[in-house]
Amino acid sequence: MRTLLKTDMNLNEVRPGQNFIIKFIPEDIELRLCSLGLRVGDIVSCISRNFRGPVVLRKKNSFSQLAINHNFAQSIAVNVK
Amino acid sequence: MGITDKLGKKKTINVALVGNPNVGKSVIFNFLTESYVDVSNYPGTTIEVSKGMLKLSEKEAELSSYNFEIVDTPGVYSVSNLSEEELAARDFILNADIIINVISVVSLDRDLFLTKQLADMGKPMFLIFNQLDEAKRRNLSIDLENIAEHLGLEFIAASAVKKEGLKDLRKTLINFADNAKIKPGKISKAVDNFSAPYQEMVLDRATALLIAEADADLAKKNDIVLPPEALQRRKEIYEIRQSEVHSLIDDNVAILEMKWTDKLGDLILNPYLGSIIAVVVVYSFLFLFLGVFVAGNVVDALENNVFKAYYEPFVRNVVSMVFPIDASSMANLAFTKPMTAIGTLLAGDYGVLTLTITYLYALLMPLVLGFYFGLALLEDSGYLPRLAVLTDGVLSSLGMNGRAIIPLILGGGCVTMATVTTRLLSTEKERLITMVLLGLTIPCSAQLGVIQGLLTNIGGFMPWLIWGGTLMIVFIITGFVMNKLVPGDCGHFISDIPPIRIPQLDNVFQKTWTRSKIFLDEATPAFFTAAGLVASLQVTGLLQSIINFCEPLMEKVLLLPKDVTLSFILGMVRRDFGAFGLMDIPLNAAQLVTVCVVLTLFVPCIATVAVMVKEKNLKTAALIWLSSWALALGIGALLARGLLFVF
Ligand SMILES: Nc1nc2c(ncn2[C@@H]2O[C@H](COP(=O)(O)OP(=O)(O)OP(=O)(O)O)[C@@H](O)[C@H]2O)c(=O)[nH]1
Repeated sequence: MRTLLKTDMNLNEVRPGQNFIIKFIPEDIELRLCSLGLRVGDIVSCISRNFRGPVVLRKKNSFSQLAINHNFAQSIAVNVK
Repeated sequence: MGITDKLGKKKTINVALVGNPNVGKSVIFNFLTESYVDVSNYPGTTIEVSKGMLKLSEKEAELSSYNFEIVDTPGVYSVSNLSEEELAARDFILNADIIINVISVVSLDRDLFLTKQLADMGKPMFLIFNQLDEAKRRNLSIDLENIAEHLGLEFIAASAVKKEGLKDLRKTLINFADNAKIKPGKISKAVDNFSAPYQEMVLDRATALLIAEADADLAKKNDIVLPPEALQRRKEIYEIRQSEVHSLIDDNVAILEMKWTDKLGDLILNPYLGSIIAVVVVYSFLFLFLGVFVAGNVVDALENNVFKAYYEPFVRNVVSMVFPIDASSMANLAFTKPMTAIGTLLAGDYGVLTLTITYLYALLMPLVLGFYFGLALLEDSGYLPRLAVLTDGVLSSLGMNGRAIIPLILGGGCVTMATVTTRLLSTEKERLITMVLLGLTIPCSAQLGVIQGLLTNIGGFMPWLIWGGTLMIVFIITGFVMNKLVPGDCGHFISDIPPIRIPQLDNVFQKTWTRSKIFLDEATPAFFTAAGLVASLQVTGLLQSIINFCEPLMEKVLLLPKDVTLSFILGMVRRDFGAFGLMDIPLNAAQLVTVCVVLTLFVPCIATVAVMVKEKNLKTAALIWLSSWALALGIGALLARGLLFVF
């Protein structure tokens, strides 16, 4: 069970420039994202969010960017810092 | 395994270049083997596995007791049987005697996960920390020694595109037997506990590890039944690995500043600004560069000032010394005056030595070179993955996802090559839709150039708007309808986005030349055959009969003169042939736009159909072929009538 905080939202709701912590990743994409370097607890920032398109993230202390499609972004929970 | 002891022959050592996508494996492969495989700044360039022997100088060959076969494996983030590329990479890794793990120092936090997995496999291994120039440019502070020591592996630091640091790699490989630089890395204790039970069953450590990581395919091959908790175990192993990577990064990497290219990369991803940039890029590339500069200025100068002014008259003079040439009374020439028929075949209007050469070198070559040059610049800069992000939303509603933009753009070079590239798409549905849209609505570079030439002749932006608009509408409606009709999933776009880079000109030129050469090597014999065929039809009078037969279709349905028939017949063989002789037929503006639209929508060329049969099946290819006939003629008929009110 994950407890929702006031600052919790889904990844597809974050705004460019916002920093947040990944709180929950659904099982079906957990391993894929883990091998791409993203897992629960990571601090990331949002680079861009496209209408019905992917959310692009950059991890703290990293140049790597990751684009996550709209549907998946909807299922990932984050906590805005 | 590669170490085989053939009589008197040197043993061959299998070396697998393994790493995340886009880290520079292909550049290193090219360096080691002195061959060329495509190098691009978007993930997943290596969809075909390339193999080659390590090129040794005579002296090196004498000293070395081995031959080395190098394999450039597809870029993967892990080897866990999650995708086709991972499966392919996994098999090469398991068969390799030596693993060279290529890592980008700019994305260590991502790349080291695979490195840990490879180290846990316990194979002899060696690290290349590549793209050091990028790290220096960004003032990135990394303790590579410490990272390598922690992993228990030796390394070299390299800037592969600048060929810096790679000499040591050759030496290391050649002295493979005598040095301890290539050795298994440190195996993570926690992970070892999971794989130990399987190691007794399969003997090979790497296989045991992958089975412990729930590789169902390997388990089945080794008659092992995976327990229900296998997936949970994989998750635990991943967690352990990722934690180790995190602490390695925290201890050894410090990012000091973002460069202007990073900021530019971010701006391109902005939905509003990025869309404006995309329009400017496409307009500058397709219209200004290819349309106006290459198809207009370069082709015009070459065709009229060189080939038609000097080359063709010269050839005609030489040929006419032996064979008479007759351009006026062609029909039945073969039967009435055979010598004249030969002369006409060689140097007549459609002569193999005149029109064919002019077409190939004055028209096709500059266009193909121009397209691939522009594309190489876009690819190397890292722009294409950003375009994929920007277009993902739209393409998703047409049954594809952002990744499909790469074959769709490559189609502007050669639809056949692009059809092969649809393999990088993950589901059958998106592959099929992309293939159909490629075959139907995307003109290849040569055809694009010819069309641009024709549209530029009319003048103004209106013809462009009508041509492009019609194709866009067909693209959207076809995609939308297919999305509704074709069952299945259109795949989900999860991708890492490589940094924006200043394109490396030598790579850009090499790629432009290699791709253009492949295209021209394939086009040249086909062009000669087609020209010979047309000239034969011409001198036997058959061409006129076919043209007369198609007259009602051309004149009544498409409102075009019957002579255009030839373009359509040839367009079936190769799309770019469709322009054969078209420039010489007098057409008004409405007819020119109609021809351009119908030629673009018309059936994919024979080579593309063959690839469709291979990638899908005969039924699908036939269906696509027939539908494009119907669609091209239907839309052409409607457009021809509509355009009467415009021009
Ligand atoms: N600046 C810089 N760029 C590099 C270096 N090595 C490779 N590149 C660039 O990185 C991009 C990817 O290179 P590739 O050799 O295609 O990478 P790959 O690992 O084979 O990629 P996949 O086929 O996708 O797995 C290209 O744009 C190269 O020019 C390097 O040392 N420095």
